[in-house]
Amino acid sequence: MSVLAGSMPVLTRMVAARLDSSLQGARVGLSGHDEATSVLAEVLEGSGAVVVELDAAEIAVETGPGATAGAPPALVSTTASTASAFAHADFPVVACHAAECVRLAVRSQGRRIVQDALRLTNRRMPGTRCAVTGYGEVARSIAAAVTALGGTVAVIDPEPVEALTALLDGHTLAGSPGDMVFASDGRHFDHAGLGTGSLLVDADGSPRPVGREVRPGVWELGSGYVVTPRPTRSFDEADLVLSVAALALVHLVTERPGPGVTALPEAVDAAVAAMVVEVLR
Amino acid sequence: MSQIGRGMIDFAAASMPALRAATERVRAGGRLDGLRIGVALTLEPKTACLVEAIASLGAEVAVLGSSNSTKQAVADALAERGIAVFAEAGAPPERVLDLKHAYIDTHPHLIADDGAGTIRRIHTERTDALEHLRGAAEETTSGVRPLRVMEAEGALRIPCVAVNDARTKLLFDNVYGTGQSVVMAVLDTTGRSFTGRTVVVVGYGKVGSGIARAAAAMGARVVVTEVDPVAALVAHHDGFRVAPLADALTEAELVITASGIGHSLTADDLLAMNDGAVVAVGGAGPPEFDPTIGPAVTWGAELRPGLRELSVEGGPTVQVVAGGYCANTSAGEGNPIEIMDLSLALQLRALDHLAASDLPPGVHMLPKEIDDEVAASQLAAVGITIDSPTDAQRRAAASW
Repeated sequence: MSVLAGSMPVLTRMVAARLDSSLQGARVGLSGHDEATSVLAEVLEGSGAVVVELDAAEIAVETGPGATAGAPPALVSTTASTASAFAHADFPVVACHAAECVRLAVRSQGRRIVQDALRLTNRRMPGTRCAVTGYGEVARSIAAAVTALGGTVAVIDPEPVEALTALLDGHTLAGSPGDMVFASDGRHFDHAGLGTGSLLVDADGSPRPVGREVRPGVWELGSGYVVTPRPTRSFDEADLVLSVAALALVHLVTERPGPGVTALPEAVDAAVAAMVVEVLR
Repeated sequence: MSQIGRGMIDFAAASMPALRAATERVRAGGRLDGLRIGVALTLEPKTACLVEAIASLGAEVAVLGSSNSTKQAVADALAERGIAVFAEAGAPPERVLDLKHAYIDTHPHLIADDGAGTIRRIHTERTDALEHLRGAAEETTSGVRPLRVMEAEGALRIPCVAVNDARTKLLFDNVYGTGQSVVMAVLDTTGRSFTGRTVVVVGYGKVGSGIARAAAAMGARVVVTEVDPVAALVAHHDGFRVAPLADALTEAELVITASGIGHSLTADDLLAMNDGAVVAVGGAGPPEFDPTIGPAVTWGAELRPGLRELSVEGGPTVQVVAGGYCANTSAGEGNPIEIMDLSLALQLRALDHLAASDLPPGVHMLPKEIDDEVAASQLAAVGITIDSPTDAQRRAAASW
């Protein structure tokens, strides 16, 4: 077992203990390539499954955002975009993105994006005037992390309900984008609005006309700079999502749902939540 | 290599308005021109900005950096500009000692010290350097403490300015700077989240309170341990649980020391921890975390860069960040740029103050007006204006 397995206690201890013979011989393909995905592979192999390349798999498991292409014989999806891409599939898809345990992991992305922006730039957060684009789920989690660390948040281009939510959460609606702008939730930020020396944190990966790399990972953009947070996740986020995915895989093998998208049963979601509580309490 | 270092120095310099203002202020006095000045601070991009500011004032600068925290690309970039650099990342102990002596051999008139390492060495084995040395500016809590002991024992032979104790240093660098940088370095190094995890903070001084606050901001349940009743009571009022170390460690996912005092966490203490728990240091380097006291320990595999296993005989195998050196400087880039802007502006003003005043040997505070001026220069740069007291308020403040 990987030396880092201990960093994913729910998957490696509690979920692994629940994987009975149902996965024996199943040929499973995993879409991701990070350290957490390799921990999942070890857990699945420990239960008798055979982890193979995606195109040779009986069942594909989406272990990271948006990496599942083609038409597998069966699929466990963990993101809304993949579930909707396969909405009319003629094979079974177990969709996990609406599971609360997966949504909790999405909501912790904000902290990691802020953490990465600070790592890449060595700038401070206390006293920093930040902006977020819109007030969707990821923007809300970024805003919460910013204020917890002592920064302030203005919201750019919100929908009316987002604007109201942002105001009631204690944020302002932007006049200027400030020192640090976080673009997320698929919203575009026009970099012409970036102040001198200000930083755009591009959590969308949109292509932008960057200039010189002024220090590792920091690029000139107009009169400011842009950084792209790395797409890696913490072991804790991965532990939640991959625990759900592993049990969704068992559901797919044992219940054999018909073609099309099936939501993960709430009981599985609750079971994972109970395991995490057991670990954290 | 040096090009990357140059890029990092220039990027930092652009966000250091207080240091720029201090440089121009000191330039007007012209007192550093022609002096030999030693700088022994964590050698990273912000310190390099101070070094280049001092060099721009006509001083001859020598730089000492430690083997564990020196950013080699930055050291190279400074050397390329003709600065005398005595720093090699990863150098073995005997080489480090040679570098320290070579640095002192430059016979500086003034030094900026960190942890009072050079000051103490000069007062013991290198008293020859006292001949030229006019004074020192000390950066940290863990350096001011021994200087006060030396002063009390009559051993201190030069004036030292406690830059650390200036409000614009202590209230920002130690609290917000170290809080953010230590917590982020631990998160980056371990790849974990703090969300829902129990993080034990050993010591609740300025640094400990900043670490506790930043850890809580990242979702941790923080437990504080203290030996000082007043500090413990403050932690309690700040909303943190306070418990004895031995109890707190039994449930810790992570422990971060912030005491600034040697032997605050030992192998004996580790016996209470769980397998896989993380140990990090946020206060001072060894021996703040001291695995030599207690049962035998064995260093094991490097799990990720900067994270190594440590097995305690008859106890757990824990994961140690940066080998027990300060996590923020050894597993990260040190405190944030805008925070070091304040600290290093104060350092420059302290060196100038030493050159301008004929201070007697002892530990001296930086004058309040210099402290205020540095704070005001950053306020101005971020576009914040404040009030002046009215005449009525001035009279009220002066009355009894």
